[in-house]
Amino acid sequence: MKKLLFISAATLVLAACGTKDDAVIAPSETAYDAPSTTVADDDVDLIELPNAQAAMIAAAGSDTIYFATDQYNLEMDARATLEAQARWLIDNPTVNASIEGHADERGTREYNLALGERRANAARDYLASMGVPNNRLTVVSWGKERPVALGSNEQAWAQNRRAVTVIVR
Amino acid sequence: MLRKLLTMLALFVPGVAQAQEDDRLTVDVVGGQQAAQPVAVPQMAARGPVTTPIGNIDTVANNVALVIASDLRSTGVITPIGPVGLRRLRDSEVTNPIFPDWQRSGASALVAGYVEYGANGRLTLACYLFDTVTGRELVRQGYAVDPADWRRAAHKCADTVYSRLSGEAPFLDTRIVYVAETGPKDNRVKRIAVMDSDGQNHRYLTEGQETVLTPRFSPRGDQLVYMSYKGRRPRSYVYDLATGRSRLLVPGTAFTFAPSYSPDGRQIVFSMAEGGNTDIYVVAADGGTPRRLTTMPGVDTSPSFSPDGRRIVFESDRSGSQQLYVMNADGSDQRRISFGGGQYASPTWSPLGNLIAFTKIGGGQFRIGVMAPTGGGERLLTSAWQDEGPSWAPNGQFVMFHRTERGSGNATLYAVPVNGGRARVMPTPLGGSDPSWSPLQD
Amino acid sequence: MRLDRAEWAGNGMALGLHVALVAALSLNLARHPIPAEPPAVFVEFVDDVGLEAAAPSQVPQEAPQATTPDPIDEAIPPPPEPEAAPEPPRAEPRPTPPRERATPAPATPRERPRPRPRATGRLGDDLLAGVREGNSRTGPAETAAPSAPAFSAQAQAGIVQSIRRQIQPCANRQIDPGPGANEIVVTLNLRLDRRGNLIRPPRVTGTTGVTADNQRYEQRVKDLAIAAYQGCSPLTGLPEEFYDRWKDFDMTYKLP
Repeated sequence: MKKLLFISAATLVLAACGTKDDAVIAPSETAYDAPSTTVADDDVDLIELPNAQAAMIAAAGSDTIYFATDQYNLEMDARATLEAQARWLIDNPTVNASIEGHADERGTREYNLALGERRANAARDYLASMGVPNNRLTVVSWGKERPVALGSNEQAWAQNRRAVTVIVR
Repeated sequence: MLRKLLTMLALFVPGVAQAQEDDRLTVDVVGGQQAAQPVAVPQMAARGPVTTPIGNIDTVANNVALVIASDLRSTGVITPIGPVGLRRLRDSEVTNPIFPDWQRSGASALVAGYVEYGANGRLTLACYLFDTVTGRELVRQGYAVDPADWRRAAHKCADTVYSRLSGEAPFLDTRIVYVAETGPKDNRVKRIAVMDSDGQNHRYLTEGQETVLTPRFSPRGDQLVYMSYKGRRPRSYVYDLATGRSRLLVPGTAFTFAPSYSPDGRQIVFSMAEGGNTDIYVVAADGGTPRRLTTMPGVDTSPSFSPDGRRIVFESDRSGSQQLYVMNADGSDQRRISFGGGQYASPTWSPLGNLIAFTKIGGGQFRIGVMAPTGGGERLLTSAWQDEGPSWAPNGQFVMFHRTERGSGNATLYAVPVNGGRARVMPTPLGGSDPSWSPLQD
Repeated sequence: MRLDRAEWAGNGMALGLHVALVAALSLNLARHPIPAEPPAVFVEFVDDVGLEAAAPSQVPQEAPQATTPDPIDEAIPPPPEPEAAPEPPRAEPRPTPPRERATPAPATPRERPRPRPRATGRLGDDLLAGVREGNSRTGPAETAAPSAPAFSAQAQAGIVQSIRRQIQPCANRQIDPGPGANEIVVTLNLRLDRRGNLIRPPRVTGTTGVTADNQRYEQRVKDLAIAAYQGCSPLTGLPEEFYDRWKDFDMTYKLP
């Protein structure tokens, strides 16, 4: 249902040449920014804030949630982690978050990029539903480019199927 | 390296002599073998000044033959003989070879020619191909190049020889763009690199500060389209090889990936993900408003145009698992074409139009295969832990891909002949992934 | 009927077309310069290569100087060029298709009719004596020895078998260029003197089985047919009394 809503909204945005890139208002309106909008690339660079990141981890317990193979639905413990992250983000309104989705190595490059986006998007939606303003949340997919566990086994892959909330400026 | 299937097939057809209308005898002969053709490649003759900007002309003549022999070997259908172990070609033999000498080497064809450093500062390579059995001259070509570009002249000669003997279009005077990989698995540095199809003239186009993925040549070979994590934002860029400048494929922050060119170079088809949904879009290569081609919920990605530009093959998980689909270039008439067991991904349409190469996932393996655009005739070309990312040679006879090693995750480029045969490693200084073969150079 | 003299005598025309092709490519290059990085390579046809083409590429005089007892076809006189004059060094960049095989029309023969080369006869039989002696591959035709000059079916079969047996080893040596090439059947017409020597180069008189998919192999299979015959010629041991029946015969060749 949600997807369908998005699709029609995205189409509208495409047709209407939408908003400026950093004015992320609702998920459905971020489909892409109109080519007529001239934005310098570096305007939208995401800069990590390591101190804030450490503070969020301390408060929320973790910056990472995990997924089953080829899945992007949020499990119970993932929801709990995201709820704690949402509380911290609401308490710290001066920073933004980049929700970064990852996949294990056992997928093709392009599919894993899409899968990472699905995972990050699921986390982003949940954070938004907890009250974090959507314009503070960005979705990034790393596909299989940034594993944290190096092995080629189920244990390692389980650690790599994840979404990480990265605090950015 | 060259595996011959030396299946001698001597079929004696029980042919009965048939009287033609004019009562002429007809003898039917059937014979031939599956093997690589032995071709003599002696050191070329040398003419003109001995000293050239790239060294002694005799050395140049030998180096040219070495490159030609190496190129021919890489085709898999030709076994070069020489230049090592062969006498050099006499100047008088450029057009009049002493055929018995070359037959004795076991060669059924001879590459003859000369190099000459001319007064105009150009290096000339004359390239002749003879049948050593019949003495027929099969083809000739001549090239004049800046001496620094002597390798390209040798590639052109090898292409001429390969094309005349195999019937296939040339593909050796081409370049490869790929992602050079170095460093540990969890902190891999990825840079876009280009090289000649034999691995020479290697250079990097990006510095490695940000991860880059999936570079693809434009049909003219003058541009690339690729994905970069510049600014921690994964987006696709168009890169101009002449200026070294790149620009966003789609301005803004949209997550665009898996880009590739239309055969006329005017459009770029790509995926854009938003809200957990990935669809396929097309945009003019010089900018403009993207047009959406797929709307189904799910992941639609890895689009690739047919060589006539009328259709697009892509992968989609709309059925519940990754499968291949073909649609018209305007997005209409989307049809699934893969129905075998397992999943199918990263399709690319052959430049000949007759096949689609893909990655097949199943049985604990990722393998490269081909099938007809209608979905039939599936053949798997490789077998390994993880092969993916097929890219066609411009003549449609080879598929390049990358093979990832279990554990280390180290990736290596390979090329496999589409009609069967063993995959060979493409030489790269570091690890390599996401190869894209350039069109034949002018 | 397709004349395959092109393969022999048509170097001039082929060269001309190549010049035109490369010239066309060069012009094309000028319009779309290769990107400056790496520095553009300009590849052009070299006129003086063309100037060298004046002489026939196969020089008959070379053949007898082979001292090895290699029986292979030095006996065949190479085709004289239709004209001895040097061919024009440069051709107008006529619009030619980028590659021959790219032309869609599958039925179009690649050869273009051209002036008939003079009949050869440049090599006397005496030149071939040594070669024939060296030919140990073939024995006398034991099959074709009819008692009467009447050309019986048996005599005919004997000749056919003898020719096939002599050519087969060289047919087997030919290399299959690719899938579908074995559907192409090439017909050669062969004209022999009484000693089994070709009195003119093999002539391709037809091909069948050419499709859009295997068209790119057609020229190569013609090459193979000619090489299969010439590699194992001259023929020996054919019955003299039936010379009229084998002085002018056809051979079809196909890959297995």
